[in-house]
Amino acid sequence: MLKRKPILVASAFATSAVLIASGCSAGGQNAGSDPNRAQAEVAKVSIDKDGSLSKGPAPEIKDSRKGGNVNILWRQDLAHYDPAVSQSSPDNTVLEMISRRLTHYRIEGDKTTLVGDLATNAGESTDGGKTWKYTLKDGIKYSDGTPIVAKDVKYAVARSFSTLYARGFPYIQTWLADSENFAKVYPGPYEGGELSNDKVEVQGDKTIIFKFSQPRPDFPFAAALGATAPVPQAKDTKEAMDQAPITSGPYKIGSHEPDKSLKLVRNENWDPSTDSIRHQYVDSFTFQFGPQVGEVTDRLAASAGDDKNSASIYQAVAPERFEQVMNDPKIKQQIIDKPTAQVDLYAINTTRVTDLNVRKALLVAFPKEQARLQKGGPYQGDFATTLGSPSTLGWKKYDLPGVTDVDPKGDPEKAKKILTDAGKLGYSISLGYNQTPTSEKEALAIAEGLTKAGFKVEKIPMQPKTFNDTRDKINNNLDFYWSAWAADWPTGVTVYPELFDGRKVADGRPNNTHFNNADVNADIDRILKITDSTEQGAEFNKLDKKIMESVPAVPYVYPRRQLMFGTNVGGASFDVHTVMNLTNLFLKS
Amino acid sequence: MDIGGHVADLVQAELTTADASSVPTGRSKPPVGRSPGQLAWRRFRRDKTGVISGCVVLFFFLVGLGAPLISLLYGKDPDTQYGLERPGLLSDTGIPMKPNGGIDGEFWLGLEPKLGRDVLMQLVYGIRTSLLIALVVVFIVTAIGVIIGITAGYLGGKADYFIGRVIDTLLAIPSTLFFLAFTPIALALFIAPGKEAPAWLRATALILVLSVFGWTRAARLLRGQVLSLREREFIDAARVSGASSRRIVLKELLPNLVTPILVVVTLDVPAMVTTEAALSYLGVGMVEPTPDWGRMIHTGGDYIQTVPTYLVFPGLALLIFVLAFNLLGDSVRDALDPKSHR
Repeated sequence: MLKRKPILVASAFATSAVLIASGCSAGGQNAGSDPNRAQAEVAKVSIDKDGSLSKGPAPEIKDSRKGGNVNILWRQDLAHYDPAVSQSSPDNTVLEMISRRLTHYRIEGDKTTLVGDLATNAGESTDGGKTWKYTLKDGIKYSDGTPIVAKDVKYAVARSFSTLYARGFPYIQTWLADSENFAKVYPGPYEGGELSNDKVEVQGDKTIIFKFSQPRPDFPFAAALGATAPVPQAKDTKEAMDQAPITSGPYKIGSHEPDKSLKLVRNENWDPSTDSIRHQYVDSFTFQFGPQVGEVTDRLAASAGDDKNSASIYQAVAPERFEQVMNDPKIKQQIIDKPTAQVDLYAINTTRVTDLNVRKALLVAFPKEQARLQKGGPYQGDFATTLGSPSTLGWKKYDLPGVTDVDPKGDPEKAKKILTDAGKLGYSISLGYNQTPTSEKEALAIAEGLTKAGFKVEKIPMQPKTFNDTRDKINNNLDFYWSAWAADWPTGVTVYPELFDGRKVADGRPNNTHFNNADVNADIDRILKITDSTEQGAEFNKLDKKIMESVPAVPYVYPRRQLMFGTNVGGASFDVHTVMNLTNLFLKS
Repeated sequence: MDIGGHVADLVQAELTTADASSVPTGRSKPPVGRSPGQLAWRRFRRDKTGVISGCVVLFFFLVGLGAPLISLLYGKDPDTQYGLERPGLLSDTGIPMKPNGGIDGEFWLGLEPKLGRDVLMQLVYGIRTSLLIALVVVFIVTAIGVIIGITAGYLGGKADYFIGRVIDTLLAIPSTLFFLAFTPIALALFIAPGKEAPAWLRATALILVLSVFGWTRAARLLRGQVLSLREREFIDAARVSGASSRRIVLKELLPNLVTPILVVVTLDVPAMVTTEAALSYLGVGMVEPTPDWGRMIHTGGDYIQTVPTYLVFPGLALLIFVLAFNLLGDSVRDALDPKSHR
C-alpha cells in the first residue's frame, strides 16, 4: 500500500503536467465574416426540355485526371441500398452514382439543370402535365452488360407501390393512383400483376408514357427519385435488393461490409457518351463508416498518409472546430461551404398554444443569434424569416410587419408587452430538446431569452435516438421544439402540402406545428393545380406569407453545409442535395 | 487442535479487541496514558500525505458549502450567460475572445465556450452537486451494507444464503445500462407530461439508483469479516457469559468493523463522485442547467484544441479531489490499524 502512493502521486502530477502544458491557448477570432461567401439565394434550377444538355458526355472538370482511390469518411453505413426505399441524405447521393434514373440534375458552376439521365430529355408533355413521355437513350446498359429497356422502368415504378418499400418517396405512386393510400389502388406487381397501361404505358424498348388524372407539372423532378431506377423483372430479388441493388451508373458495388466499409469500383459497361451528369475519374471509392464528425475534421485537416486522398460526404466540421479551421488559411482551402435546401424552424404546437398573441410573443422573444451561436454561429446559416427555403423556385423575401422584422437577438421588452396586453404573462412553455451537448446549450440560450420576456419555460430533455419519433406524435405534450424540412426537389410542392396542410396532421407526419387552417388548405389545393412552375412558385411564396400571419413556427435559420477534403483531392463541389458531388472528385496526383 | 495454537489465537483476539475498541484496557500502561483513538490521531498527524490530503478534502467541502458566499463575494453566478449578454466576450463561433479561455481579472477561470457562463462559478457549484450526491449515496450504501453484511455473517445459514444470492443477482445486473434505461422511466413516473423535472427530483432518482446497486460491496466485505470474527474466542466468551445478540453485535463485533467500514467509505466517496460524473457524461445524471463536473469534462473534450482550459479546470479539480480522498483513506487506515501495512 505504501509503495502504491508515490506511483499514484507521480502519475497524478504527470497527468496534471500534461493538462497544464496544453493549457495555454490563443484567444478567439471572428471567423465567419467573409463577405464573399455564397449567400442563401434563389435557385437557378432550370429544366432541359429540348434535350440539348442531356447528351453525354459530361463536360470535363478543369485539371481532372483519372485513376486512384478516394476514401469517403462518414459516420454510418447507408440505411438502404435499394433506390426505391432510400429517402435520406447522403444515401441518395451514393445511390444516384450507381443507379441511373429517368431524369437527374446536371450541375455546372452555379447553374443546375434537370436533364434526361436514362431519357433523352427531362420529359415531354403536350397536355399541360397530365401525360409525360420519355424516350430512352441508345447504348445504356446495366453493369452486367444487358441493355436497359423501357419495360424495366415501368416494372421499377410498379414495384414501388408494394408495401415492402413503403419507406420510399410516395410522390409518383400517389399521383398515378390519385390517392394517398396508393397500395390499396394497386398493391404492386407481386400481388397486383402488371401495372395497367392506362397508368404507365410502354411502347417498344425505348418509350415510356406516364398518365395522370390531373396535371402533375412537377413530374420531371419526381422522375429523378429512386422509383424510376430500372429493375428487370427477372432480377427483382425483393428485399434482398436492399443489400445488392441493380446498378447502371459509372460505379458498381465491389465489396460491402455492413456498417464498416463499402468499395465502389468502375462499371466497365457504363458509356460516358450516354451520361451528361457523371464522370468516372477515380478507379474506386472506399467508404469508411464510423468516424464521427470531430475525427473527420482532424483527419482531413492533417491530411496525413492516405487521409490526403480522403473526403467527407455529409458533415465535416464540428461546431466547436469552426474557429480553428476557418482561421487557418491553409485548411480553409480544403473546405467548401454552401446553403442547403433545408429550413430549420422552431415549431409551435398550435393544438396547445392556441393564442395568436402568445405565438407572436414567442417569435419576438426568440433569441435566434444566441441560439445559433451554440451551433457554430454564421456557419450554421443565415437567419430565416420564411417557412420555405430561398432555394425553392419562386421564393422571395417578403415583408410582414411584426413577423419578418423581428430582432434576431430577441426583443424581451416587446414580447413582454405583447404577453402583458394579452393577459398571458408567465405563460408556461414546454420546450422539448434533443439531449445532445449542442442542442442542450441551444435550449438553454432559448430558455433564457423566453424567460426574460416573461414566459415560464419548462425544459424537457429528450433522448437523441427517439427525439424525432416522440416529437412527431400528435400528443407529444410539448409546446415548442426544433423541426427541419428540406424539399425533395426545388419547388414548394414537397414543402407546403407536407408541412402546413391541416388535413394531413397525423402521428409520424412532418407537420409538427399541427397547423390547420381551412383557407390555407384550399389555397394548397388551388396552387398544386397551377402548371407553370414559376407562377406556382410565386403563389407558394404568397402562401408562405399568409401562413406566417398565424405564426405557427419561428423561422430559425437556413442551414449551410461545410464539407472538407484531403489535400490531394480535387473537384470538390456540392450536388443537388448539398452533399459532396462524388462523380466530380479526382486525385491531383 | 493443539493447545499452543489455541493460546496464540486467544492472545491475538485479545490484542485485536484491545487495539481497535475505544475503551482503554488499562492492563499494560504505557508511559503516558493514551487511548487508541489518541494514538491513531498521533500516527495520522505524523503522516504528511494524510494531513495534506485531509486539508485538500476539507477545502473542497468548505468551497462546496460556501458556494453562495463565494458567488456573492466574486460577483458572478453560475447560470448567467455572460458571453451572450455582453457582446465582445465571445467570437462569432462562440470561442472566448481573450487568450486561455477568456481568463482575466473578471472571469478568473475564463468563460465557457458558446454560452459564456463563468467557469469558476460552474466549478464551485459543481462541487456541491458531486459531493452532495456522493455523500448521501455513500451514507445510505454504507448503512445498508453494514446492516445486511452483519446480519448475513452473524446469522449464517439460510439468511446468509438468501442474502448472498440477492447480492449475486444485483452484481450480475449491468448497472450502467440499467441507469441509462431506468432513469428516464423513473423520472417520467413522477413528472406530469410537458413539465420540467426539478433538480431535486433528478438528484433523488440518481441517489436511489446508485444506492440500489452500491451497497453490495460493503455488505460482502463485512459479511466476510463477521464470519471470521464470530468464530473467535472473545465472541464465544461473550456468548457463554450470557450476552444478548444485540450486545454481541453492537459491543463486540461493531468496534472491530470500524476499520473495514472506514476503508469502504473512503473508497466509495471518490468512486461515487466519478460514477455520478460518468452518468452525467452519458446524459442520465444531472442535466443543464445544474452545474456538473462530469458534463463539464464531457463538453470540455470537444474543445481540447481550441479552449483547453475549459477541460483542464474541471479535469484537475476532479483528479485532485479523487486523489486526495483516496490518499486520505489510506492514511486513515494506516493510522487506525498500523499492523496491516507495516
